[in-house]
Amino acid sequence: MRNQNINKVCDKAMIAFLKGDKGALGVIYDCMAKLIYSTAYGITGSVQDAEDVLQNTMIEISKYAHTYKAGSNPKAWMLTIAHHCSIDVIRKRKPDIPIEDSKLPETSGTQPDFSQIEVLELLSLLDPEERRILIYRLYTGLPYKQIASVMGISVTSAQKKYQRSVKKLKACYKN
Amino acid sequence: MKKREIRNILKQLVDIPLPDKEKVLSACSEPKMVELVQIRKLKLKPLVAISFVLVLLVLSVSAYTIAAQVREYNEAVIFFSEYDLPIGGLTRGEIRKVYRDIRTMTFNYDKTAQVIESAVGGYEIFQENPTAEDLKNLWNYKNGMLFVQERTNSPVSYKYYTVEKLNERLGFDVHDKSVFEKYEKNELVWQVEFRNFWIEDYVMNRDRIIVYGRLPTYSSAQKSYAWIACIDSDGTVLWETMLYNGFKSEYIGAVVPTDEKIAVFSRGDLRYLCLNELDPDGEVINFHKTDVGNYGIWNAAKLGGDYIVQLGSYMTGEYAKIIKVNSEGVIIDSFLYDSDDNYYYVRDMIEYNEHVYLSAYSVPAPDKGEKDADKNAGGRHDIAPILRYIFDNNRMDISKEELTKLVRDQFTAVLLVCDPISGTPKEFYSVKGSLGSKLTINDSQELSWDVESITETFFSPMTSSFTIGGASYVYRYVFDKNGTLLSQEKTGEVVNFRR
Repeated sequence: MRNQNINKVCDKAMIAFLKGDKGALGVIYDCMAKLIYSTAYGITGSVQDAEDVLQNTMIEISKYAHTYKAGSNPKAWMLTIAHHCSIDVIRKRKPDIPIEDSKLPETSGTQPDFSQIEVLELLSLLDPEERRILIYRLYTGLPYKQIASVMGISVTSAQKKYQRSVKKLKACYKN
Repeated sequence: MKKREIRNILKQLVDIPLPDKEKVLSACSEPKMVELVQIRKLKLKPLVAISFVLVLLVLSVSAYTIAAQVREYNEAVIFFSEYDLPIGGLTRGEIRKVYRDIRTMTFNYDKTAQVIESAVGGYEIFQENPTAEDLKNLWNYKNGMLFVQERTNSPVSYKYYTVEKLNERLGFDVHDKSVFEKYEKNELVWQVEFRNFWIEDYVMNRDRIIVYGRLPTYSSAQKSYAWIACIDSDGTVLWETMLYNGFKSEYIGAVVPTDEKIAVFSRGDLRYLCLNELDPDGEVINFHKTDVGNYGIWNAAKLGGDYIVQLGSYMTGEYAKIIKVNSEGVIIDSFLYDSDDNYYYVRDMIEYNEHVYLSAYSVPAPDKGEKDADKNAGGRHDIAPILRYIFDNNRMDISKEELTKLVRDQFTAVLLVCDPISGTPKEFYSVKGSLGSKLTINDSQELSWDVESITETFFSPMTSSFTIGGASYVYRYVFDKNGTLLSQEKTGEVVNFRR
């Protein structure tokens, strides 16, 4: 679904949800779950954690729906919630290690197929913040302004960090 | 590897099968019927455009002048909306004037004060009528720019920063050098460069400056060593040395210099408290390590022939664990400064007139029932009662004014003084609604205690780095050697409050 359509559909669904239609949450799930889940998987590197992020994000969306501004950008709003949920999940996983130092976990539980291993290998070359920024830019397709808003950093900082991540990957693959 | 290839690999994320939809949605809350918040911006634009066209058609006067005025007004309206400034009660001309006053950072127009004050809300913001400087501080604070007013009692200041450069082999920026600079009346006097380490902090000892930090690393596989250097008053590096105590990772937590020796407290492999004593030429004359577990070294000060060191752990919420270490580096006493009624959080310490003073803040200790309820406070024990009040009463929309009053009631700044023999602290001075901050000895050899008076707070449950944010104005209390309060002043400095 194109970005504009996602925003239109999600906006309508959020309004319906706020008017009491719980089924509207299913529509939001259909539009956003894939994006939130796969983004969270890329960030956390674990199917279990990605499931937790998706579930927590949906709970937070329903809980804080009243703070949503109709007609705004629901995709960015939901991704911001998912971003915080991902950070919380990583924090809970390794409580004595600062979030900046967290590593991708060894793959366990559901056995990933070959392609997923390739993704994890690529992302494991980056630190958590670089991983997030690369996924938001190249996978989720967010513009820098929205990345900055989701991650709570400046636009310039988002651009610099993204360029640095790409450079780092290029250098690693060159070697 | 090209961006397209990276993007293609990332696209594989799409193939991961989604979890069960019903299971995920089953835990979600029931919708609450609320009045919808509509974005006004969408409606404002056509209105402004229509009024713009109407003004042009009806008046038919100098198109350029009117267009410019309307454009400025439009910009002002967007500006007011972006920064959440109240527009009510202002004429179009006043809105433009306030906009211009803020944009040019002049802050001379009287309506500007009215607008900024009502936008920031707050508590005890101004004791007198706000000056242009006060308004500039507040405006900078509101927009996330921490403004630190230069201390007028000392024209000398120091600054340090790191310069990075691209490493062609690694493909990203790495540490090139750390620069330490001395300024006098904002003019650069001298600067020195360190290529072996990046600077983390410095302490002064008469006319010498002890700078310390650690080896720059860019991979967790590298060992990380602590470095320390000494600079004289002319900017000459007298010596520079690396601490090598056999750890994979070591950093300096606190440095206590005296005329005879320099006591360096370092943390090895995140579990050892180390005392390294260096002579004035930087040679290590004594080293002792003690396994204290996972505690950070937050502060240290000399107490007679021994040292008082503050250890802390964000994980266990221990902020006032004080140990007494003898000159050999052996721990000879340890206590947690607490009382039945209050919890204490030590933030700074200093030796003055043969006593050690601790700058701290206290919060009321919860009773047993509350303690159990606060277990899930996520490490934010000092604001747990406030969070409990908000959640129990479903007050997610709590106003800044009400929250600020609750926060001010919760925190008390305390100045503690340690017994010169045992090291046991006792309360010396307290200020309600505040946090104890930096302790320094001023040019007149008096004890200067900074206190952060909580001025304005807001509740932000969706941010990951803090739940209650805000700002505090810094007040400075000065004591003489007998402990008599000589003066108190509002410095004009604004600092962040984050919990």
